[in-house]
Amino acid sequence: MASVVLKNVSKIYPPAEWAKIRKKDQASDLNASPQLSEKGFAAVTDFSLEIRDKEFIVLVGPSGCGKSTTLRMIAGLEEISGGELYIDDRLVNEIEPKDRDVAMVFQNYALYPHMTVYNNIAFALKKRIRSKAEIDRKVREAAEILGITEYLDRKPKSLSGGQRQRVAIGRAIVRNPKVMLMDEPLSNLDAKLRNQMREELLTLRNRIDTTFVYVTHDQTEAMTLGDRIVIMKDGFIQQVGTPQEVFENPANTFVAGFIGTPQMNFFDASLERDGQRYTVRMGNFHADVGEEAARKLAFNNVTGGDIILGVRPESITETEDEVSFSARVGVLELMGSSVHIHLEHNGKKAIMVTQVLGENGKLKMDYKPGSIMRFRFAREAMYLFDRQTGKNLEV
Amino acid sequence: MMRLKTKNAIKDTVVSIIAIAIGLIIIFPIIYCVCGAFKTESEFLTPNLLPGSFSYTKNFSDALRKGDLLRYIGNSFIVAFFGTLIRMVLSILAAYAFAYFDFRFKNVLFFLILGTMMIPGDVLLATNYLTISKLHMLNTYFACMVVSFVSASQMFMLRQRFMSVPRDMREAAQIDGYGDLSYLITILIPICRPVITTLFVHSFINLWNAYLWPLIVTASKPAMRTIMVGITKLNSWEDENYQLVLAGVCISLIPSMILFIIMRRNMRKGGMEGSLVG
Amino acid sequence: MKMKTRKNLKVLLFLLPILLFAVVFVYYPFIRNIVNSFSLVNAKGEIRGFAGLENYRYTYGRKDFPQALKHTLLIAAINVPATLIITISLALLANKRRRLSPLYETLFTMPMSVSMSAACMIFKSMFSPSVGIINYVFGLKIGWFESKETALAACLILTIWMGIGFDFLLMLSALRGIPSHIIEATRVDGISPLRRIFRVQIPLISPTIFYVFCTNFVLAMMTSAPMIIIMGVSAESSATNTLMSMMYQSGFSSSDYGLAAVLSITAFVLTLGFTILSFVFERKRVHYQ
Repeated sequence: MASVVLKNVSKIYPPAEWAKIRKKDQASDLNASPQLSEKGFAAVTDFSLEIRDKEFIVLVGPSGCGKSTTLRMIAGLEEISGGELYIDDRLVNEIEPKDRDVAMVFQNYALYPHMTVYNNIAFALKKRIRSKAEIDRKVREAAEILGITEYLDRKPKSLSGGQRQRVAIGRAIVRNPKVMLMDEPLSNLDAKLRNQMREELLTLRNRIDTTFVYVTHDQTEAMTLGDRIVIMKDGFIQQVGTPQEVFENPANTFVAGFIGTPQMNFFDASLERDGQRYTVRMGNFHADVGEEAARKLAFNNVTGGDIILGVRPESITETEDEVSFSARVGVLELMGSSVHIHLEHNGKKAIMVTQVLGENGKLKMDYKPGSIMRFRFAREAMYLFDRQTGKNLEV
Repeated sequence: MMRLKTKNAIKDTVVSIIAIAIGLIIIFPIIYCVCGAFKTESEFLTPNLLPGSFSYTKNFSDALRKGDLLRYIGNSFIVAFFGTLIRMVLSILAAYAFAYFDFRFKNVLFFLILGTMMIPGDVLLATNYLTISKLHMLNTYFACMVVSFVSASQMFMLRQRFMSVPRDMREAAQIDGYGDLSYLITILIPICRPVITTLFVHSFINLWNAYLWPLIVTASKPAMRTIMVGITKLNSWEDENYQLVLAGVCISLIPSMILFIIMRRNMRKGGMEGSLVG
Repeated sequence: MKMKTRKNLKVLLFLLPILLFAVVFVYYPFIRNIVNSFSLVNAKGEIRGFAGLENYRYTYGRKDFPQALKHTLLIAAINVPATLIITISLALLANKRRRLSPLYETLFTMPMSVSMSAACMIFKSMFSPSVGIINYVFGLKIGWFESKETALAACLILTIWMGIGFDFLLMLSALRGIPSHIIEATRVDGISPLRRIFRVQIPLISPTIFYVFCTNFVLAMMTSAPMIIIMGVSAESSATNTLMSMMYQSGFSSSDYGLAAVLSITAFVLTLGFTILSFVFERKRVHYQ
């Protein structure tokens, strides 16, 4: 039950330390990273965010984007190289993790193998509460919530992945911490269990009133769980917003590509300005951007030129119209009620999703791999990005 | 198929018999010692291996009484137990620091400790003796064990084991409100108990069996001798009284034999036969 | 930077104890040994002035020094290969897991639990010319500890016996650590057992062999207890002295610490020199997987 405020927080691993970490992780592809300088490796740069009390914040991004490092800085497991971190208006940069009153659920659960489930959950309480009866009450209550009461006397070794996950969560919630930190808690579960646990987390979230900071690389988890999502890349925040905001108004091509599956298609296109009107042109296809978009573009002083045109796979439609672009149909992936159609246009790959489930309950597919077809997009579904910076031109 | 199986079974039996025969030859000195310890004085002069009866225990009582062996056993036990305990504490603390902390000169200090393995203890006997005598600690238990406190190999093995424990275990404990020392005691040591037990037993046997150093530092006060020094003095009263000596040797072997068997079983169970290197 | 200071203090607390003892009881005496060897040291172990190479000249000029050196090297030269051959053979014999494996493995390793001084007393009794069983069994009438050669032979047998248990264990676990598919491949290829042993198994456990070689060599170079315990400390017994038992005699019986220092350093330098040599050799012959 607390706010968490990060002010220009950054983390730089000095070169010597970085060399050690890199050796351990074998992440040699980070060698050429722009985050690497003579000062070391900048895992997180200038991270500023105000997390409100009882908010559920999800940090999301590809591996190595700095999301876990940020979480670990909040936990106190990682030293903060620069900036300030406040929990409940108290500066905690120099406070040990044990004195921050945060709880954390680890990716690998980090259950103590030699203790029973009961003791695993009670372990943290023993440091804080004297009364045995009180501890017992709290442990049983937490176990009840998570449905692990019958396993209390077991050791972690004899539990399944999902049960271990519950114990790890139980260990965290039993303390009623100010902030609940979760580091990819579902990534070790199989797909089916992950969906189930995600749902349970949502329920749990409503039962326990606390601030959540949740790290994941999975955008579905981010979209379904978060009140707000923080999308990160290369140590920088790309965008902060509600799931709807980041989906509808991605700040740049990275966010646009990261949120939503299958990911957004990007085409090279050009933008023409004629007074208050803007037209997107791509081969034979051209479309007016519409009034609202035009107003935003004009407000941003966009003059036109080469742009990146982003279109979500669901927004591509087949057409007979002349004003269209043609593409070769590649592989078809039937997902059930919809089909993913891989397209090739001017050597660029794109993907289109279309519903094929007819009203009669039968699938209706008349796409032929190898054939050339015409496609178009709705004008509202077009995202315009700067060719150089990747920034969304309408934001 | 059947023929091959029978052939293999016969081969295994033959090899087993040969191996046991060789094994008996190898432990012949031990058998000889046990048998000799039960012989009467006159029996010892006959070339028979087996004594007349295994109920003749006068040698043992004589050894214990005349040789003051009970006192020596007590000394040995104190030296071996507390020496091992202190050695374990020092190695565990150092291993923890090297496994979990990052600090300046870490590598230098690490190799400084590992470097002690390069210097055989025997080379240092004379100068260490002088140090102990200058500290006026000759003929003390502390003197008997002090040169065994540093065990680089033990420290190294513990560090390896500690590093194999997932790092988030420590982080979870930190967040649960536990500092380094309480994490070490409540989590890490219980997790690593098999290795720690094996190292403890191994170290206990080593200290129990030590000879030259205790001999030197207890030279001027017989009451402080350890059992291993004591048994070598058994046949100086009545010359050639070997049955008495062998009884003393038998007594001295009991604790290390028991621990040896426990350790063997532990190692077989844990499949860590190779982990005792060093 | 409060957190940093506290952390550094903690590191110090964890490391100080072991460092203290390492410095006081390993590095200080080691350096002091070197200093002593170049100094005039009195019977109390105090340095009474610089002696230059006088201690070395004196030690190396003594009649008993070449003998002690010869015995030390002889023991190392016989003990090390003998132990290797015996323990490798035993390990090959015991390699396959059979029903009785635990029994004979225990028998093979048992010498490990016997202490040096206990072993010395047992062997002293076994080799006793009057009541000892060795003379009886082999029909000999040797006064084993009366002549230098037989006394050394008895001590050698003793030291080899002491090393069997632990080294066998190391060899065995190395052999069993060879991936089974490699052995299976040799069987499919129809390679004879002898060829398999010398061309496959022994090369594959060569790191362990090298390790046993080194540790045994160091131990053998430091041999002193059998001489001290069995032969006792006397003028005659110096006939079987090794470097380290000579050091014991000179250091503790005659309190000649200059001599003791020179002998220690000589033994150390020889040991280190050979070990380094074998490491050079190791690079060429030892296979690491």
